[in-house]
Amino acid sequence: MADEADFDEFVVARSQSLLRTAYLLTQDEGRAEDLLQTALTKAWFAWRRIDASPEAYVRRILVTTSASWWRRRWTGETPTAELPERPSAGTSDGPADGQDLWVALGRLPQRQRAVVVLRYLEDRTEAETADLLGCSVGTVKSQCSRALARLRLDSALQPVVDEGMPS
Amino acid sequence: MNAEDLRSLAERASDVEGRRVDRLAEVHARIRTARRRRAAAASGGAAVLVLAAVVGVSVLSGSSERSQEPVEPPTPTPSETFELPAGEVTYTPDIAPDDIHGWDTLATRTNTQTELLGATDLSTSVTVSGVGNMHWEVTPYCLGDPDTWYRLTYADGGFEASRCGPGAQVPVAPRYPFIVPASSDMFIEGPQEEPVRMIVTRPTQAWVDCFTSGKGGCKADVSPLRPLESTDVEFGFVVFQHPVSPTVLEVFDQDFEALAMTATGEELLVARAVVSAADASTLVVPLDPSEQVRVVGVYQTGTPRLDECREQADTEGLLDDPRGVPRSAYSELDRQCMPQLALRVDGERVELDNTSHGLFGVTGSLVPPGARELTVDVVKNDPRNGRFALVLWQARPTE
Repeated sequence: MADEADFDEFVVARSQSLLRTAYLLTQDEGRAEDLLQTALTKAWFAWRRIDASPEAYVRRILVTTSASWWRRRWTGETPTAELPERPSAGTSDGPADGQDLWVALGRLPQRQRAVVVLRYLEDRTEAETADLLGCSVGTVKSQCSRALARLRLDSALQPVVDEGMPS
Repeated sequence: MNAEDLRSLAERASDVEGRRVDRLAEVHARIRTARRRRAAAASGGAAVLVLAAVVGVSVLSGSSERSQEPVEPPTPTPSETFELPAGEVTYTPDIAPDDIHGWDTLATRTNTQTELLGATDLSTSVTVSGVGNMHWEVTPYCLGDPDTWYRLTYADGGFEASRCGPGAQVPVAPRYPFIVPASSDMFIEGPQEEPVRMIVTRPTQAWVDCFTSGKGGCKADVSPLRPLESTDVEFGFVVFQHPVSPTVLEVFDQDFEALAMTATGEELLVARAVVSAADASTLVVPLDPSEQVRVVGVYQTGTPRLDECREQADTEGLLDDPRGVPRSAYSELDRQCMPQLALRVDGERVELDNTSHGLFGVTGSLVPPGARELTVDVVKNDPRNGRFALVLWQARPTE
């Protein structure tokens, strides 16, 4: 890559596509724009070093930056460190409600959310996902497996039994 | 729930516009701000040692002609503390007391504070400015009846909940204290406002069972949780921030600040960096006897020969993709070209730990106490294709 003009051209041409990834990672339009601009700014400082695909480079910054943002905002839905075994019966595998699934996706740890976004929502291969996340294909497989198991167990996707709270 | 359900969610992003019209201008405004702060952070502290500028090997950087470098680097000063194989260069940062920044307390809210006495709902808003990674933390505490729970919520809807209990006290340090010492760029975000709210509540047993089991069957959402009208428990939170810190060392485009901190709060200072000689396949670093905690990190960059190797290895034309060469192509080619490294302590190979917890994000290893000899070897591919460096941290001396 070369100079600032190239960078500007890249921002104009490709940032909407990147914004969609940011939105899927953050689930909030304002934060998605913030994340995108953060990633683009970081990319500017490395612009001359990007000798391959700048879009892949910026997308990788998006993913890693969103993960670092998440670390300071732990959404500790489940206090257990390890995921419980999936119930052997009584869990529906039928079509999930889109809103509930969206909520459940947002409750995944960021790394797992990123894997799901890249693998299923953006339809990337395991190898591409591993490359973007800077990890091995094996890690993608395991994170993916854990993410899907966690989604299946998420209360947002379960029948509501009791949400009562005293006033 | 299946993969198709997930794919359907992608449509939600299709209409997102963001600030399309203003984006380019806003990004350039951020760039200007970041450049000013990078310069301020670097020039305000100790001398910056720019190793890459000396060894001149960073093919990835190719940045010598860039006209907007944030800092004019001073001349590096190789250490002469011990003899090294020819061409190896050691750099020792000159760390001033003001360069060492741990965690500052931004705000404390407890229901024992005079103006908040007996409160069940505490909130504040802090202005945080982060440097790239995670650099602020909220640490809660709740002392009292374990049937009482607390819930801590953040601006983005993230939350955590847990029981109150015995022995809790006002936190004096962040729960997750680790400070990553190196960043590929010392990018500074913010400042931004971050509201934080903490309540104490008493959920139903059904909710507790559901929440703790993780097996589903209830609506474990935060919305039904309401603050108690009154409480005997003592609770609150402290907001910590790791402030902008000067760069004291730079290796292969990695900026290092003086202080690193492990997940358990152990403080370490960056002590030295040793860069391999050109074309060398081994790097040897003897360490004096010490009983202090030491951590070694291994860093690497490519040389121009790496590009040549990639081109020769590219029998499938991966580098000729007119749409741009994907990173995966480089990953594939680098398996054949990038030197693969092994770290040894006294000749025994140790695993390079790249987890972010015990070693604060460093790909490296703990060094056992005593006099040791650290060795980095190229174990695969042509050593001339890369340069590598070893960075050492040691426990911060107690005052």
